[in-house]
Parts: sequence; C-alpha cells; structure tokens
Amino acid sequence: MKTIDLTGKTAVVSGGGGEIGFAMCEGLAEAGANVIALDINTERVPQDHEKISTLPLDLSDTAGIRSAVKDISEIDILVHAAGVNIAAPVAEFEEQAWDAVFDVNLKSAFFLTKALLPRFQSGRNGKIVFVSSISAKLGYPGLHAYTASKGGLDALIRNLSTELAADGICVNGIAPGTTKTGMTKGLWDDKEKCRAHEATIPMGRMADCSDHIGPLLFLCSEMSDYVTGQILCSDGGLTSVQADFINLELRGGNE
Amino acid sequence: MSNILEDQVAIITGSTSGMGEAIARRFAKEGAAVVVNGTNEDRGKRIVEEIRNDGGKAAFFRADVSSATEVEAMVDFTVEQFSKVTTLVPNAGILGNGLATEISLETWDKTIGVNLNGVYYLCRYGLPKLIEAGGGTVVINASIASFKSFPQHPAYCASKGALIPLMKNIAQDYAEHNIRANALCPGPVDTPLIWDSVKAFPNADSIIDETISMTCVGRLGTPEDVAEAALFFASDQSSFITGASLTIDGGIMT
Repeated sequence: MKTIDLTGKTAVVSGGGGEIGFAMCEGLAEAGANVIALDINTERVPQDHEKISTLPLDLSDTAGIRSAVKDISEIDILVHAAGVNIAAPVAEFEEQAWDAVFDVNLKSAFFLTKALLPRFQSGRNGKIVFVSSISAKLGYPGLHAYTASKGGLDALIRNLSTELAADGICVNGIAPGTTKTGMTKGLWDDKEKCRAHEATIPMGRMADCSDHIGPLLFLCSEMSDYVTGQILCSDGGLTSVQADFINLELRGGNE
Repeated sequence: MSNILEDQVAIITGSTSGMGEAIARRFAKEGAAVVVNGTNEDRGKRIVEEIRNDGGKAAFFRADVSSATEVEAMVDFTVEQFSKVTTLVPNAGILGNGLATEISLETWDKTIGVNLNGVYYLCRYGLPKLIEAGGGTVVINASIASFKSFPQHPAYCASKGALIPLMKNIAQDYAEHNIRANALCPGPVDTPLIWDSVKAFPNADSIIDETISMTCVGRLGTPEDVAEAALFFASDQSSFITGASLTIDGGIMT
C-alpha cells in the first residue's frame, strides 16, 4: 500500500538508532524521503539502506547540538524520536536521573528544533513530529521523570505550533501506546503480565514499531496541512478507555 | 486514481455538500464504492454522476438521518448495491442556532436528531454489516464544538460533544470485531454551514476574518483538508489507532 510520497523531501530523525526511531527512518525512506538518522551511537543504525545516512549526536549535551548538526543543509521534516527512561520510586529517584531523562526527552527536543529551524526550506511546508507517549496522559509508578518529560513535550508541541506556523511549519506529536521494544521488554517478556496488559487494550495487543509509521507519514505529508499542535494516540484504543494502569500488578501492586 | 480503499464500501451521510461531499469524492478516488446521502436529491445525483464519470463507484440514497427507519433502509440499500458495508462516515450535521432559552423544542430535538441520533442510527444499523464484512472503520465527523462553545450554538455543541464518548464506546466494544472508530474534529472549514454559523455571532460581519487570524496557519480549512484526515482513518495507515479524535483546525485550539 503506497499511500504517501515523500520523494525529494529530506527528513532528520533523532534517536534514529532506537527501535521506534529506526522504524520511522525506514518508513520515511520507503516513502521516498532522504533520511538523516541522528544517534549517540550511529553504529546502532543499520548501514545498508541507501536513503538513510547517519550523523552522531549526543542529545544529553544540548550545548553541542548546534555544532553537531552544522553540516545539515536544507530539510523538510524533523522527527524527534529520541527518548530515554529511568524508573525508580520517588524516594530513590536521584536528581541526576531526572536531568538525564529531561535532557534527552524534552530539553533536546527544543534545542534540536532551534538548531534546525533555519534549515527548513522556505516556501515549502515543513513538518515537525515529536514522539511523545501515552504516559503523558496515564500514570505509572516509577516513571516520574519520563511521564513528566512527555507531558512537557505535549505542551511544547502545542506551543511550538503557535509560533512556527508563520514559517509554514506544522508541529504535531504521536503518542505511541506500549510498544514492543527493549524499553518494555520486562513487560512483554513475562507472558502472564503481557496477557494482563493486552487485555486492557481494546485492540488486544501491544504495538509493534511498524504500527506508528502510518501516523508518522500522515503527519509528515500534505495530507495533514491543516493539522497542527495535535497529538495523535497510536495506542490500539488504550487511552480512550483509560484502562491500562488500572492493572494493579503493572502498577507495582497495591500491597 | 490510486486504490488504498479498494474493496471498501462506505456510507457518507450528509455528502451532497461541504466536507461530506469532499470525503465521498476522495474515497471514491481511492477505490471505495460510496453511498452519497442527503436530502437534496439533485445535488446528490449530480455528485454520483461525476464520480462515475471519473471511473468511481457511487450511488445516491435520499435519507433524513434523524429517521432510524430511513437510515436502516440506507444501510440495506448499500448492501443491495455493493454487497457489503465496510466504512461508516456519519457526517451530516445542522446548526439549530439560537439562545438556549429561545430556540424551540423542535429545533433542539431536530439538531440532536440529526447530529447525535443520526450518528447513532448509522452505527446501530451499520455496525452489524461491518461485522459481517470481517471488520471495518467508523469515522465520525464531530467538531471542535465537541470541546468548546460558540455563541448561540447550544444544541450544536451539545450534540457534537456527545459524539466523542459515543465514538470511544464503539471503539472499545467493537475492537474485537476488527472495527476501529475515530473522530474528526474540524475547526473553521469553508463549507456552506460555516456561513450560516457566523450569523449567530454578535460580530457576524468580522468573525470569519477574526477566526482566520486566530488560526496558526492563517486560513480557513478546506473540505479537502478534512477528507484527507478521513482517508487516513479509513485506511490501513491508521491500523493501530482507535478511540482517537483528531483536531483539524489550523491550530485554532492550541
């Protein structure tokens, strides 16, 4: 099903070596875009795709972002897919962990946007898509910094949309539901826990990385030219029923 | 013409003008067979003819969606014409404007009848056909009025507000039948309805210009903008999305 043609567009994807990030790189490349995958470890990005190139970038070093992307010329699409998670109970949650999560998930989202803004081609529709999370809407014990950073990202999406429209840029987000990646391995590796979790999702399963490609391409294409400041949940219906974390076992029990 | 909705059979209510018409034309262009619906038979038949002339599959069915009997007949007609139903796009809407204390009870009932009951009736009679077809999609055309008020639009806002939880309920209950349900929430879109809508505003002469300046993107939406989003929700591109609302408003709500 070839639905969206991004031939001739250049897309930059942060966290392009991550599982969701790389799936997004592949989706954009298959739609015809030239993709630059940014990652702290570019060796994580498979090198066999002719339309995907790589650039090393440490998003925890916000001061270094501008110089790291200085060789990128014109772009049409920016996807911020980089994200990290550190989970711990409040009493054990250290400031360093908080900062590490916020630096990558939120602060770098803003400063990468700032650094690349002059590279958006004038007179052409620009698209920025942030990968948020349903955890911006639903609570989960231990994920204090992660959920707060994603909530902040949602607010940033709305705010950037108001200012960047004047430059012809739409700013939107995708909020994936629980997706089978290394970050959630503890959940889907445990068959019983996974079954309990999937029972709370109307579509009855966790997401695969590929599930988020369709919404990404929609938000990167002219199909969504009148859509800005929005966050699209790609979650199998989870947030619409708000059922996910009612599961006490997932919540860490109510002991 | 491409074919991302090939094998789909869609009912689009209120599709003789505005967003509904754009959705019907867009879906037909992508290979879906479409049932065009409305009460203006001349317009409906003309749209069907134009779709057919472009190589698309279409049929017109005259029905007032506030009548359960007529909606049921439309669903049956669709099965007779195209052998199944896979896609429901309840889109028909009216304004029923006036102050809450001044509109007639008939106006209230008619607005709720078209904007809310009409959506429910299409789901009530259409969903069993989607189940028979092995799954499908429901794309409800709600509004940013689902989330905010407008002057002298009490019945319109109330009816549109009810559509979001209705959509979520359908998403939850019918997911096991491989049916996804989502809502479009258009903002200011250049359709015949918006020009009637502004009459209820105290600043009717200037409100469209003010509205345009309140959007981030500096323009009214087009029916085609909304049709693209409807296409997204009706296609496999949104295959893991259900229970979601998408605001298509040029950023007016942000």
